[in-house]
Amino acid sequence: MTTMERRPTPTTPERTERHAPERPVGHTTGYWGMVLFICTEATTFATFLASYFYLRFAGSGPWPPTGDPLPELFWSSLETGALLVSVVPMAVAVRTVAKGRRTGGLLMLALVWALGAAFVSFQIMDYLVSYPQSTLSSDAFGSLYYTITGLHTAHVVVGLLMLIAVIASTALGRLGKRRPEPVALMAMYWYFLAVLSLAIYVVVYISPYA
Amino acid sequence: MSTSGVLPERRIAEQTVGAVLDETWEEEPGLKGWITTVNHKRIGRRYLVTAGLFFTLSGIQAVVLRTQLITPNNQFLDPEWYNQLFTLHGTTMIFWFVTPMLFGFGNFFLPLMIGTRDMAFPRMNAFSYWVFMMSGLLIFASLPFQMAPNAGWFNYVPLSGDYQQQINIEFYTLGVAFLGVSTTVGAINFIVTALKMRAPGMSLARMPIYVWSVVATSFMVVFALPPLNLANFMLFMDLRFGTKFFDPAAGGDVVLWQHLFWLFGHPDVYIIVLPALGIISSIIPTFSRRAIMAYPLIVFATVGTAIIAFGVWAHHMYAVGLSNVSMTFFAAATLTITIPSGIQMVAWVGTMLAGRIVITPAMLYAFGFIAAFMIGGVTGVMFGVVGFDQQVTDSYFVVAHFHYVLFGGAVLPILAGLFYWWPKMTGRMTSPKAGYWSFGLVFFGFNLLFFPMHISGLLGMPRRIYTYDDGLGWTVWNFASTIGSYVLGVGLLLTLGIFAHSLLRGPRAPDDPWGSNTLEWATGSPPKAYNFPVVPTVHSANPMWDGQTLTTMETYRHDEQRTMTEEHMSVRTSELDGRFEMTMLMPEESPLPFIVALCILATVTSLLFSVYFLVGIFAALGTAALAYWLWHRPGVEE
Repeated sequence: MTTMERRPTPTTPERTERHAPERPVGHTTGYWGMVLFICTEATTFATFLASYFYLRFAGSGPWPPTGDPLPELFWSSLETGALLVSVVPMAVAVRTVAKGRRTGGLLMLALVWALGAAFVSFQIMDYLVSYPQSTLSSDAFGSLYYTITGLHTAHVVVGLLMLIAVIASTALGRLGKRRPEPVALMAMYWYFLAVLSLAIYVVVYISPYA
Repeated sequence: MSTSGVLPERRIAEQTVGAVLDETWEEEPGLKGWITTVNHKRIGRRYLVTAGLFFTLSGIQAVVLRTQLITPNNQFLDPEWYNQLFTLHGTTMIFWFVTPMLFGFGNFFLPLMIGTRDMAFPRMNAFSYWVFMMSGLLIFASLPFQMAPNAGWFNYVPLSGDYQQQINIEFYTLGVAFLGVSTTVGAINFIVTALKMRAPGMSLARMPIYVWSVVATSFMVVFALPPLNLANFMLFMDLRFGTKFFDPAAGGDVVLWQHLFWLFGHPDVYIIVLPALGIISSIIPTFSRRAIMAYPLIVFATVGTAIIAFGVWAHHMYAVGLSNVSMTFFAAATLTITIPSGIQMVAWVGTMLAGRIVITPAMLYAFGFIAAFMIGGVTGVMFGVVGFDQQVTDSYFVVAHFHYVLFGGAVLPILAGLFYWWPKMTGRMTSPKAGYWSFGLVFFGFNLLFFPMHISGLLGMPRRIYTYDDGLGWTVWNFASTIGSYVLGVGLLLTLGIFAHSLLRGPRAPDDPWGSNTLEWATGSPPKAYNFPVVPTVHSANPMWDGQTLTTMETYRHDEQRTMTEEHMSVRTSELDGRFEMTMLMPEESPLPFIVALCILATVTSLLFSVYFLVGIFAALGTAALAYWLWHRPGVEE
């Protein structure tokens, strides 16, 4: 027990500093909460993508099944690109907010939000262009296509709502140099969504060509 | 120990800071406080009581089922009722009783065992309770309207994909997914609490085995629930919106359900059993009067079980027609997983052999558990062998096997845990003599109920049949089973009576009635709202016995970092070594968890009955409440 470190007994003036909610010593409970949340989310999507291949290879017919066109790559490439690019301003935002540069941070967060919104719009365009007549209920290929991309888009929409809260908090000064952590947690979730969009792009849009 | 049963170190600490802490940690009384509480002990108690209630309801269903089977060609129940009852019995026992019951123990004791004041996310904790309770009410409410799930607890398609019984199956898919929210949130909460909030000095190597088992279980929940939720999502989409995931005519595949379900389902067996084994690992050292043998090996076995459990799911599917290669792989993995269980078994028996055994009701239940779990384990190994499994699959032999594992391996430890921790939870002792009777009746009834099922199963009786003909050789075994279920029922009623009597008339419990080894016994019986007046420094894996840990409660009683008298605060320590990092502010009581859970219940119910505009309204309300919740975080309002 000799390695146990104990801080000196505090004195009153130190107290407000000591009780500040975030302090750069070790990982916070919020950090681990987010890590585990992402783990469980990632498992959900991994299982979903595995189910995609299961259904594809368990059946004997062609893929996509006769009558279904190959996925259009135009809008899907744009949307995936938008979300992947948004990782950069997100990473910059984490640093600028932590340094206390509010305007710069807000600008970056707004850019992330715009790219996320672009993702959602492009996804909708993709639905309209790729499959004008719904295939959700015509065969398993269509079911997979719509539900996998739909579930992911729903997650991005939730991410956009969370971003609004983060932007508002930063604007009001509730987040900033003294309390930067929620921005970093938001960013972790956002990176997850971006990487996920790449995986979905490869599986749902590219793999039928193989 | 002094005459009044208060540990001297705790008394001194309480005298110094107890009064201030009482005020800091006081919660609102009355109905409002009942809804808004975030106290992990109240939530834990609630989990136990609610899960106990569901156990009773589900147990009554089982007695009704057994009564139907008491004689051949009995007409007590019609087939549709029988289907709904056995499905609901299995579903609720697995999802709404065992896991939540063990989460209840975890909620109450995990923070106490690691020497902290609350869970890492107290409001999330309240939220996961409310979701559990409401989803349970939803699923039980289906029965009186004959809308209960009726395709077995694992709900195989295409049986469950039949549109005739859509509402029944939708109750299953939505109810289980709704509960999944609670289980996942609760599991994340346990992991973070155990990682970040252990008392200073409690390195991972000093963490009680019970805490290890809850953490291992929680990791399994994090990775095992997604396949289940996904499968339920797909089935719901198939039934309601016409997707074709499970429809072979349109490129779907029915076996996909089985893969997804058992990818969850087999880890779930260990999700249920591991914390129960953890309870046994707490009881055996106490009543053997020595530290547990082979602590590192038990931890290794616990974590190893949690990992291997993800590689054995297809042993539930030997009869499906998988390739020989995959069946061989899963058979090998299945036989491997017996090794960690065997290690724990040897460690318990070794601890008892090397110690001096003290007989109490809790210890008797632990003995009973070892015997029953051994039998369930042996039949489990038999099922791991493909040839044997293909002979007896879907027979009563399976029913016998998994009841030995689940009743013997989980319910007996739960009863052991109740007798063991009752004084800590309520401040009252139970009558030991009545406890012996409780054990005797329960154990006898349990064996009389489930052992004959091995035989009727080997004689070819399939599971899930609502009646059977005379002259097949099953009559006498079914009769015995049914009588056993009545005896078991009487035993459980007696147990309930013992606890009720203790609440009303039981003698006051001292802080540490059993002379136990872990930190929960360093608190009051029942513990104060703040648990520990002074957060101790932990010096060993058996802090109550090392002669140093308790002293630190006295030594640091003027140290503000250990007493934290001003606000709701807790100590945060490093993940591996348990080094002190900082004190952190904890959230206070709030009605938001209740409100958000209520919104989800309303959303799910509207979705169930296809009232889509209400789905939109309630989902929006829930989102708004959740946003408000996250906006008002502790430490932000200044």
